[in-house]
This record gives sequence, C-alpha cells and structure tokens, in this order.
Amino acid sequence: MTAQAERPTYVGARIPSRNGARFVRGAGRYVDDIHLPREATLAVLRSPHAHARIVSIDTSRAAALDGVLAVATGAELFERIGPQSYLWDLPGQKVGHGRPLAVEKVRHVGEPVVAVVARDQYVAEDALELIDVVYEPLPPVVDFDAALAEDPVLLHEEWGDNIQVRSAWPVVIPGLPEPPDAGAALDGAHVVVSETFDVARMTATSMETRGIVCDYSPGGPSLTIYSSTQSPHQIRQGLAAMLGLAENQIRVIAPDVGGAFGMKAVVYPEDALAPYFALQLRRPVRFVEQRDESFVASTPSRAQRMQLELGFDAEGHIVGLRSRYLIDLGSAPSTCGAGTGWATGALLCGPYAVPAVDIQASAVVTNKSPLGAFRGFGQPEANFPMERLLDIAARRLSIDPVELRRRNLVPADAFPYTNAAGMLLDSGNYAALLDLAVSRPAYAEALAERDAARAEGRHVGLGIAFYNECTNFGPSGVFPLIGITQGGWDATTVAVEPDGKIRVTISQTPMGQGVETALAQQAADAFGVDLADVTVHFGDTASSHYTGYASGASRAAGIGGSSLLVAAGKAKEKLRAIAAHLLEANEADVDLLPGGFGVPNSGVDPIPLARIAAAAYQGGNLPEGMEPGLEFLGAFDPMALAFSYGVVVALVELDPGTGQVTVRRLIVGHDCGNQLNPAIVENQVIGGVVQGLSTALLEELPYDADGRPLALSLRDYPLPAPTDLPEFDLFHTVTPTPFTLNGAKGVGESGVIAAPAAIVNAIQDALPAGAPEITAIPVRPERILDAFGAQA
Amino acid sequence: MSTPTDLAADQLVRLRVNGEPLTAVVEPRTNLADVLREQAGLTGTHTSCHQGWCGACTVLIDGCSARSCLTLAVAATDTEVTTVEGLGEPDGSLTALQEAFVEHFAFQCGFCTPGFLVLATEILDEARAGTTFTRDDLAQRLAANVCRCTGYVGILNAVEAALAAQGTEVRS
Repeated sequence: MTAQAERPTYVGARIPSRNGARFVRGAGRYVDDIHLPREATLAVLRSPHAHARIVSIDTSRAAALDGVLAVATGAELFERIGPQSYLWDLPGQKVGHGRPLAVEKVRHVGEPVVAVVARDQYVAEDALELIDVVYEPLPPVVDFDAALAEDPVLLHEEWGDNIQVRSAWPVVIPGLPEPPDAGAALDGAHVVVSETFDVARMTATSMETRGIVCDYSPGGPSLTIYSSTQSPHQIRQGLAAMLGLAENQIRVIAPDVGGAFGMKAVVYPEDALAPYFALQLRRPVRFVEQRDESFVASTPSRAQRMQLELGFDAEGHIVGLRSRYLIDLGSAPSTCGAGTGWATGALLCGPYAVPAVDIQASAVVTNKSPLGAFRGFGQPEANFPMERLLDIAARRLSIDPVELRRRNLVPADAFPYTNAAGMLLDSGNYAALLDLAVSRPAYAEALAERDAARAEGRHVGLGIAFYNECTNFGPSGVFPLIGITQGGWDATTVAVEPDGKIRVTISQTPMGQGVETALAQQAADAFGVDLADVTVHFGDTASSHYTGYASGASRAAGIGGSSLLVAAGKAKEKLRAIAAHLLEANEADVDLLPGGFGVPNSGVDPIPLARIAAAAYQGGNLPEGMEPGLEFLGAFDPMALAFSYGVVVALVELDPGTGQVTVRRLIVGHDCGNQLNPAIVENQVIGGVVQGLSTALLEELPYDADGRPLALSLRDYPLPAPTDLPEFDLFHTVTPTPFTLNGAKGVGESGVIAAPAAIVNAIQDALPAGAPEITAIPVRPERILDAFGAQA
Repeated sequence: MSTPTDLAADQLVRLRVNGEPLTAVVEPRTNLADVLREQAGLTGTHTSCHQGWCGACTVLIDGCSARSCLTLAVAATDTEVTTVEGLGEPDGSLTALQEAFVEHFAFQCGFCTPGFLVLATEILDEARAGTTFTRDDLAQRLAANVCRCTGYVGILNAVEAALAAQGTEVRS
C-alpha cells in the first residue's frame, strides 16, 4: 500500500455523530418504543423486606382479575427456568440459586417474588396489589460488621458464612520467582501511612431504564428479543441455557440503548421471565422497568471499604503496599459476580511503580440488591484510597503532592511494565502528562485563585489525582486465569456491496459512546471512500458476529476497531487480486490509489471499487478458483490490555455555613493513544468527569438499619445538574498502544476514575489545618460541617 | 393505554398535537405521555422517571414546557401540544437549535435529547420575546432536565449557539 492511499482522511477528525439527525428529530428507537400485536406486559411483585422467610403466597385474586394472563411464583418456576450463569466465575466463588424469582426466602428489598403478565402495564400493576404474601421477617444483615460478626445471620445457610469469594495478590505462579515480601518492605520503611476508606454504593441511573420486548414465533420455539442491553450475545447465551433452548433459536436485538454504563451488561431476572412467558402464552411479552424499581432491581456498584497502608523510603519512593478490603455484593452475586471487587485489587497499584504488594479482598453478601458493574469497574474504588493516601503521605514526608506522585509514576522507559500485582502496563509517559498539567495556564490561574481567595478568608483548595484506566479488555488467553468465562476478542464483518459501497457490521453495541461513528471513519479511510458511502450495522445476533465480552470495559475503539482493520485488510487483498486480473497486471504491482485499485504511475486509470465489486458479484470473470462475493470477517484478540491514563486537578470552594462544596475548576489531562474522533473522546471524558464529580459529592444509595433502601426516586438520589459544572481545561497527549492495530486505547471510564480523589484532595486542602482526614465518598454537606466543627 | 376497567368510565380527549387533531378514548388515569407515545405513535417523547424529576417527557402545552408524564391526558383537552417531532422547519429541515445540538455533540445516547430540545425551544422563544439570559441563567433553566451521558457541556454550548444564531446572544 502506498502512503498516499493510506492517508488518514477521517480518523482523527471531529466528525459529528451519525445519530444526530435521528436523535434531534425524536426518531431514536428504544425498546419501550417497540410494540407488537397481541403483546402482554410483565410486572414483578418485589419483596418489601430485606430478609424474610416466605410463608405463603396467594395469587388467586390477581389471577382472577380481568386482563391478567399469567401469574407465577418462584417455587412454581424453579424447575422450569434453570440457573443463571456467571460472567465472572472467580476460583472458589459461591453461588446463589440463580433463579429469577425468590424461593423460600427473600434477601433484599426489591427481590422479585411473583411475576404477573397482563394485557398492559396498568392492569399488571393493579394485579400486583391483589397478591397476598405472608412473610416471616428475619434479622437483616445490613453492613460489613453484621455480615462478618462472629456467628452471623447467614444469607445463604449452605455457604456457612457470608463471604462469597476471597482474592489475594501477589499471585504466586509456580516456576516463577517468589514475589517480594511487602511485609518486610513496610517494616523497613522510613514512613508508613495508613487509613481506611469507604466508597459508597451508587447506581448507573441510565435515563432509559432496562427493558425487554420478546416476540414469539408460532412456527417453533423461537424468540426474537429486543433488549436494552450492552451485550446481545451474552444475553442470548444466558437465556438459551436458562430456558433450555439452542442459541440459534434466540435472536437478540439491541436497538438504540439509552445509556448503560456497565449496568446493562448482565442478565437480569426479567430477561428470563419475559421470554419464558412469551413461550408459555404464545404471544409477545414486554417488560419495562419503572424508575422506582430501578433503584432496587438494577445492579448498583462500588460499595467497598478498604484499609490501605503505604510505606515510603526517605526520598518518598513507595517501598510496599498492604491492603485489606471488603466489597458489599448485596444479597447474591449478579452474573457479574465479584468482578468489580477483583478489578480493584488487580488495579490498585494504578500508574505507580510499587515494588511489593500484599492485598487481600473479601466479597461479602448483605441484604441489599445484588451488585454489578458501573463505569470504572472497580477502578474508582482503587484510585480514591491510593490518591488520598498519597496526599496524606506527602504531608508526612513534607514533599509536594505533585512531586511525590512524579517520583513514583512508572517511568516512560520502563514500558511495557509488569507491576507487583501482575498487571502488564502497555505504554505511556505518565510523568510528561503530569508535568504538562502543572504547566497549564489554568493551573497557575487556579493556584492564584486559591491564594487570593484564602487571603480573603475563603475556604478554597486545590487537589490533584493521577490515574490509569484498564482498557481494551482483554486477552482471551488471560481470561481463564481471572475467572472470566468468555473470550475477550471481537469481530467485525466488512462487505463491499455490489455497487462498491461499504457495509460494516460490528459486534459492539453503541449506547452513546459514538462507536458507530468512529468505526465508520476507520472503514472510510481503509477503503479510501467518502464517509457517506459507509453504513454501520450493529446490535443484532442474527447479523453481528459473536463476541464474548461485547461493549464494556472500554474496548470498542481498540479491539472492535482492530477487528474492523483485519476484515478490511482481507477485503483489500481480494479487491487487489480482482483488479490485477481485470488490468492484466501483476498483483504485487496493484495498490489502493485515489479512485480505486491500480498500478501506480502506470498511466492507466485505477479501477473503481464499483467495477471491481460488479465483477466480484457477477462472478464470471474472476481469477481462476476465486470465490465470488466480497464479504469478510475479521477477528482480533489483543496480546495484552492497554492502559489509558490521565490527571485531574480540582479547585473547590467550601461554604462553612452550609457545608456546600463548589467545584470551580477541573483541569483534565488525558491520553488514550490514537484518537479515532477527538470530539467523541472529549465528550466521553467530560461525561465521565461529571459522573466522577457526583461520585465525590452527591451519589449514594443509602439503606436504613432494617435494610430498607432510602433512595427510590430521583428525588432521593441526587444527580449532577448543569448548575454543578466547573470551568474545564481539557488537554491530551497521544501515546499509542503497541497492542492494537490502530494504536487506540479506551476512553469510556477515564473521566470517572480520578475525579473523586482530586476533588476530595482539594476539599481537604480547603479545610483548616488539623481538620480530620476525609476518607469516605460522597462528601455530603454534613461531612463538611462536621470537619469544620471538629477542627474548631 | 386505553384499557377499560371498572375504576371509572373512559373519557374522550380531543387536542391538537404538532398542528394535527388527536382524539383518544382513555381511562381518567392515563397520562399525556402514554397517549402521545402509544396512541399517536409519537415515541420521541420519552418517559424515564414518571415523577417529573428528569424532564425526558417534556412537551410544550400551549407553548409552555410541561411534564407530559405528570399531565393527565384528560387535562390536556383542547390544548395545542408540541412534541420533539413537531420541532422541524415546515420544509422538513432541522431547526437551528437541532443543528446546534448535532454540531456541539449535545447528546450521547440520545434518550434525554427530545426533552432538552423542547425545553430549549421554550428558552429560545422567550429570548425572541425579549428575555435575556446569562450562561448561569441557561444552566438554571436546563437544570430542569437530566442528562446522564454528556456532562451538560455540549447541551449548554448548543443552546448558547442557537441563541446566538437567532440574534439573542447570551450575556456574560
């Protein structure tokens, strides 16, 4: 290929979203917009108790209501719907019954107890009110202390305790040298700092709640399922196993998905119930989660408590790290299992060169709704303790917090770098990004603003946090070692249509990331065609190729994009061969040129894609033995993960009278390797940072002492508003990863990882000297008032 | 949802939606959003919280923004309702506001977008009638709706650009 033919035209440009014209006309098509003839509606009766034995259930009045088509309890369905499978299946992990409806006892408020199918949502909800369930309340296990008490109340009696799984690092691998002893390193350290940190349970709150519309084919047990999901193939796989169908009897379509953030990556009870009733009733069944349900029925995330200890030498280099942490899984593992908890330990060292670690994690069950994934997947839970403790250490060591970080970042010449927890960091120049951040005019302005405000007696503080983000998840060979049951590769189909236009079918699921736009840019460049000549299709197991891990873990650009390049490469080989045949030229002399495939500098016009395609589909005049047609599948499995990285600087002001925190400025430096579309990257980073801002200050799913959730509406669960926005200074560096074909790393989770720590570090800086260390998020106003009070 | 039950007699609702007459027979408890979405087939109006907190269901009723999930359909009788589908120019092209949303990446998943567009249409109408806005005013007004994806920066920029495009610039 000549340099001329491969010149990037669209990749790297700020191309507007392909969805724009549809979305601004209100022509997006989400699951709830889909209605089918004869459809019925599923609604679920949920437990009002955190922990209770089910004594009896009487559904007769509900079943008799006009318009009710079916009613079923967990006991009635137990043998009919098999157990859920686990996407994360860590060694030694214990499981619950895995059925969609509770059996014998309930373990959290909101657990599904009875399913009702009726002619519409209004009647279905009427019917729920006619069901009589007698419960015998049991003592609820509401926190870590209760779960881990001596002789605790057990959620799953057969487990013998309330611990689902334990994990530890370093991992001793037979045949490899013994990992260094963190205990000895800490014993010999110049300074040791230690604190216990809490990250609250929070929830994705996608604006579109979960939904499923399931069509039934009378021609056989075959289902077409419209689902608001990130991972159509995983839904199909999970449901086939639970319902006893073959995977090819189920077609899962993800239409427009109205936000997901990891929450829509797993199989939910209603995902199995709707198809079950569609088969039973021989008619379409829909379920759309109501907002109040979403607070108890959709998986939340975070919910960790970590004791973290860092040892430093006299120069401020980290010599050892010890961590004991707990993750509150809720009542039973979701199909995500203890995945986020595992990620926290594996990624705890972050961007720092930590020579020795001793990390032990326990995943604990309590009487709350089951935990799942949420943007960042365990990484904010790791970053917050680490970045807070670095600030605490900086004061103890009398080293500037920026300088302390600089001394400990993995140096640029050390990549690829395997850290003490066994993670391979692919590439980066962390220190350069840090230096760039503190040389920004915005940084000098923020410092000046802080000092001026302080001179006026105002409480203004500056904080910094560094992070890396684990992306391009992940190499299939590694997955079995970390308990993931799927492959981590991705596949894309590229077809050159009979008229020479390009049709791309991706296995990724767009849910707002802009992946269909970015990948269209890549395809247009690969074939040297106009962007308008590329269509991108997705979200349908009948056409999208199987992918094990689907959309999540920031893998669309790097892995999805690389699989597209593999497919495009195959297409171009065949196009070149056909062109050579038509030109009667040597194949080796033919290249992709402006205007088509031809021989450079030959004086002969290149053959346009349309003419090559016409020949390929007509089939009668092709090189001997060549198959007709132009459709190609490309698959890509990365050699290793790729780590994006960045830095967040926050300037905050505290109101000592109200406890209100105002974030005035955020400086965000970021590197995700090659950017397919900088505008998409910017949008992802800003959106993530604002979620990080609310992680620091607002979002929490609290429970009372009886295990009752205290947030059941958007009134109780504060989300960030336009009025919460700071002034942004966003900048990028570009360090491509060597482990993808396009040099791209992921960007989806970057923003949310370090913003909480940066903001809390700034809050601490704004508090009077001697105020207690803030070690828990969110920092609600009462915490600020306490801190001022404790100091005074 | 027009299911007859014994709760109360169905009622006839007559209104105009995006300039066209709409007649529906509904239970008294049926909300306007359901009538728009399921009887008129105008699915651009989205429902998310059903409690008025998120604003995804915002429509204009006689020119004023309102939560269609909190508005009973019977209460909308004899009104003129504008949904996101009614925002385009008469020739089918996008309004300057819609263009600005596309240009400024004012959406990601697109679910909250119709509500924000309707809300912003009201702001633009007020600006044309003489009201002036600062960037902070815009943030206050747009805080009526929730977007979970964008962090609002693109939305604010788009509305500001649309105001500028109609000659009613945002005061600093």
